[in-house]
Amino acid sequence: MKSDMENRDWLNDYKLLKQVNSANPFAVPDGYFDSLTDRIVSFKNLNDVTNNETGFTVPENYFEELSNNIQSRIAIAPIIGSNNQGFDVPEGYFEELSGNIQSRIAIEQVANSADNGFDVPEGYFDNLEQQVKSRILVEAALGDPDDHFGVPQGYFNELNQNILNKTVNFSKVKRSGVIRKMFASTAFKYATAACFALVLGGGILLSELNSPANEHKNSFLHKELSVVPIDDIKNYLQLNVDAGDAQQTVATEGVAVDANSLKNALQEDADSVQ
Amino acid sequence: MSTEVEDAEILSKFQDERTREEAFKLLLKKYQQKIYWHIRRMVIDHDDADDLVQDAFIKIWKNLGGFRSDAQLYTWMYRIATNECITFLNKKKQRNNVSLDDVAYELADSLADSTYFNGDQAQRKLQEALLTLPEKQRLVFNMKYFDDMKYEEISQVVGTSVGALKASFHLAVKKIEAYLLSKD
Repeated sequence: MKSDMENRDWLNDYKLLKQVNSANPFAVPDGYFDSLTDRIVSFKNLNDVTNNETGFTVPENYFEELSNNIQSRIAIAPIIGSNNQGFDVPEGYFEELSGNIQSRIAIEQVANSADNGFDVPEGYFDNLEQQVKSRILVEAALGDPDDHFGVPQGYFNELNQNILNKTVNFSKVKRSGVIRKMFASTAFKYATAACFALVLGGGILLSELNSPANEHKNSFLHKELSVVPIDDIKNYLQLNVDAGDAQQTVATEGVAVDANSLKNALQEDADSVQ
Repeated sequence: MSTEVEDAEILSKFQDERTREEAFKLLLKKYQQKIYWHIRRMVIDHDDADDLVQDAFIKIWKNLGGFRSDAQLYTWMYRIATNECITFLNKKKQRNNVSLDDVAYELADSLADSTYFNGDQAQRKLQEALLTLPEKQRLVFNMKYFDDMKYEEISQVVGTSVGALKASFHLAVKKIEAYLLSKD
C-alpha cells in the first residue's frame, strides 16, 4: 500500500478535488472501537449457538439427491403444469371469495370481541378466586351430599321404568286397585265367620222350607187329598185314568201302569202327610 | 503495520482449534476499523455500518477456514464487506421500492442529519458528489481516494479488471469535479 501512495499524484490533475481535505470526515461515537471487538465476538458466539444448535437434520444423502429431485420436478412440471393444476373451484368462487372472507372476518370480530357480548358484575373476577375457595371449604366441611340422604335399595334401578310407566306407558299399564285387608283383627275374623255360618244355616233352612216336597205338603191339594181315603183315590184313578193323563210321575211313558207301585206310592205319600 | 500481528500468524492460529478464538480477536483488532470505514463510506449511517460490520465479520469467521493464501487477507475481507454493503443497498431499494437516485437522495439526507460527520463544507460536498455516482464507481473511488489501494488490490475486491477500474475511476473523478464546480 505504501508504494501506492505515490499514485496520489493523480490528484494533481484534478485541482478542485485536491483542495478537499482527504482526511476521513466521518466520526463514530466515543469509545466505539474500544468495545467493537467484544461486541463482534459476542455476536459471533451468539451466531454460532443459533446456527449450530438448531436441532434440524436432513435425511441421509438428502443433498446428494436434491439436485436430481429438483431436475425431475422441473421436467414433470410442464406436463402437469396446466393452468388449473388439476384443481377446480365452484363457479363464481373467486368473485364471491372477497365478500365471504370479509363477512367471516366481521363475524369473527364480533364473536371474538373482548366481552363476547356477555357481561359480568363489576369486580366479579376480582372476587371469583376467593368465592371459589370459600365454596370449596364449605363443601368440604359439609361433606358429600350423598352421605345425608338415602334411597331404598334398587330405587334407581326401578326409577326409570317407573317414570316411563307413569308417563309414556301410562295407557298401557293396567292400574291395579287398592287392596285393603278386611281381616285386620282377630275379633273381626270371628264375627265374620259367625255371620258366614248364620247366613249358611239360614240358607239351608230356607231351602228346606221351600223345597218342592215341603211345598207339596203345605199345598191345598195335599191337604184335601190327605183327608180322602186311599182306597177311594185308587178307585178313582183306576176308573178315570186314560192315555191323556200325566203318568210320568208314577209310570214310564209307553209302559202299562203298575198298580202295586202306584199303591205303594200313594201309601207313602199318605204316611208322610200324617 | 510492523507492530501488528502478521496475517500469516493469524491464519496459522486460526487453523488450530485451540487458538482459533484468539486468532479471530487478533484479526478484529487489526482490521475492524478498516472494514468499518469501508462500510461506513458506502452506507453513510453509523448504525447501518455497525450492523453490517458485525455481519461481515460473522461471515469472515465462518469462511476464514477456507481462505486461500494466494489472495491477500485484507482484500478478501474487503470483498466480503463490499458484498454486504451492496446487498444492504439493494435491499434498501427493494424495501422502499425506489430507484438508485432515490436511494442516493436518502443517503444524502442521512449524511445531512448525521451527528457523526465532522467534515468541513468541502468534504460534505465531496460526499454529496460521491452519492451521485453509481455504487461501483463510488466503491472504486473510496478505495482509491481514502484507502490508497492499488488498482490490483481493488480489482481483487470488486472482481473487475485493472483497466476497467482505471476507466471507471477516472470517469468517477470527472463527475465529482463537475459536481463540485456546479455547486461552487
